[in-house]
Amino acid sequence: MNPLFAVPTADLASLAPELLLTAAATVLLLLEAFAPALRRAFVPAGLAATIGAAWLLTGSDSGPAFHGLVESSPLTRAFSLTVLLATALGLLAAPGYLRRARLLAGEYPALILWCAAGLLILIRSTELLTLFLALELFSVALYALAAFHRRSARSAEAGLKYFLMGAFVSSFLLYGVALLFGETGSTRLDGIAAALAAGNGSPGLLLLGSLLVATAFAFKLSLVPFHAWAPDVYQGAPSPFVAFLSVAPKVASAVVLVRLVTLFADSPIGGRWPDVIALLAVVSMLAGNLFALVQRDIKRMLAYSGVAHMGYLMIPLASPGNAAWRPVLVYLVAYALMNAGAFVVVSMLYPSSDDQHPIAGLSGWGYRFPALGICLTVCMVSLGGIPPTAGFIGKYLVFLHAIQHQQLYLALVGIAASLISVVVYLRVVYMLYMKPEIAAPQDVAPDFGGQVAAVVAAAGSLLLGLWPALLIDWAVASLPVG
Amino acid sequence: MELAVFVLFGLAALVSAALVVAHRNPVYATMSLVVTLVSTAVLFVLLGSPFLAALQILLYTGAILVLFLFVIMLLNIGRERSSGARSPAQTWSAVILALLLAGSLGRLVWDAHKDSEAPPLDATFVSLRGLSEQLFSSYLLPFELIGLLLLVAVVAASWLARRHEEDEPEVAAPSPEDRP
Repeated sequence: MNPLFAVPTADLASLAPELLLTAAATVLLLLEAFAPALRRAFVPAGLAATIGAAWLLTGSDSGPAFHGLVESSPLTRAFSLTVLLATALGLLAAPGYLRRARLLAGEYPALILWCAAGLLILIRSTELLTLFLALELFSVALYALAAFHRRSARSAEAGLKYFLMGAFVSSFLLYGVALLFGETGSTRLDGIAAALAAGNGSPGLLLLGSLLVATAFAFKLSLVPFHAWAPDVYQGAPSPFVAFLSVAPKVASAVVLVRLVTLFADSPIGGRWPDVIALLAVVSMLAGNLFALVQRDIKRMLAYSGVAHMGYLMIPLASPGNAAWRPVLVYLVAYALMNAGAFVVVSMLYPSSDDQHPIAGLSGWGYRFPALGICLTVCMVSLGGIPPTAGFIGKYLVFLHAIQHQQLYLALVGIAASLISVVVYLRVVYMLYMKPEIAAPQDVAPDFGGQVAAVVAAAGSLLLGLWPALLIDWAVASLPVG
Repeated sequence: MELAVFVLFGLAALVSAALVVAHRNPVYATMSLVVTLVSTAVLFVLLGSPFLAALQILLYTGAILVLFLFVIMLLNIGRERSSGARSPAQTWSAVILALLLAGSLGRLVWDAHKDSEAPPLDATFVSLRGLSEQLFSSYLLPFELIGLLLLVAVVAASWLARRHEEDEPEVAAPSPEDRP
């Protein structure tokens, strides 16, 4: 063999978590074809692969790999673990739903694992071509999973809407990449940074290219005004999948956005970037919470609340720099636990493939399902940012960052938006415990995996809220000093 | 000579691209896209990359657009019915915004490059050997990612398109008024 084409073992070793996820997905698909009797074991096997990938990840070495197209560092590992946490929660909750909807098949865990592999590569990629392909890899899997309930028209609508808008946004990303490459002569982030620092290229075209690239990730984060897909997709897609969709892609996209904004803001074209991000943050926080206030469907309500949470997440980015990583990581871990937990409980309390999930339907169920009621309450309190929960720690660090960087107005808008959001979330708790039961539950039979996922998410939110040092020390150890 | 070829095929690419969007009949629109892609292939040759031009014709016009035509004919899609939803105001504002975007983009490109002349591509770089060396050494990871992406797309499409014996409609189509 020509040694030119040999892949160094170190490169392959650095890709081990992604390789394990991909291989496990492929094996599950083969088993679906040749041993369908094992179907009940598919999702647990996918869960085992996720945990195995997390284990491989914690043991992997730092440094660039594949000619500098991807890198591995404590930072990428921390965010990758967050993605795998969301993947595990989503997989745990899946079998109950899949059995009820008669959709138990190897394709579901396979697509989730491929999606997770794409997200892990996205987090690690330091080159725009790899970045684009990783984005497409996880997006294609997400489109199919949103439409996974093939007999539900709403699910098909969700998949198609997400696909059309996502494809449109991918073309934005490609256009931006083309402009950046044309002006700087490089697709590597460090090469682009060097060209920007040297003042190469036309500032106008560079600014346009960077805005187009950032737009693609703002879409994935469902920031206002790129949020229109979220409520419809969340409402129609299978609920355990939404637990994954509403968290994992956001973690990876947020990492890329932090990387890009830090890169651009440090360069000669960076003058207005903090203002752009601050505007996105303010609009997302306010619009997300105000729209959430008027929703009757709990999944649509959580979709708009997700928009608002991504708005809070943008606050540290309005003063870019290495110091922005820490609040972003802490916030995302808290968000992963509380948001995935909320959707896991929703997937068990709304079991029918009926497309409506009215909040009023939960009236009085807090006493009928004590464990699930408490889990949902903890997640709602955490989403509202009320101590002692992880959501409070996340918001505290984000607002503190804004105040430390002379952006008091962002912190004030954030606090005002949080106050609106408390009404949104406490409405669910009020329904659970303060209202008489209006409808007896039909076919609500919480399954073991889903309950474990709900308890893990709720207990995690509470634990990290009571002992924030656990989370913050880990974040400090993982991230560059800022 | 070179300039004449450039102007001819550049114009052909632009006009046919406009036709792709404007033509009501999907078969004509697809055939216009064929002209666009062949014209850009000629531009690739002018830029010194015959391999890219050959790939463009083989893959895009040869394979993908034939697939387009197959789908259009199999589904028997006729002329696009004009939906009453589109008002002249919408059409005109779209046209004006598109022209504004095109104008500002053109202005930016013109300002940036009116004085500089793009260097021709390095002949060894765009040769078959040069391209494959890049592809299978520096860019091996993206190459493998594309393979994985295609696998995922095939699995996704087959899941959505396949008909299972247990598949009978059980959920009614959503009606427009049940959305808050």
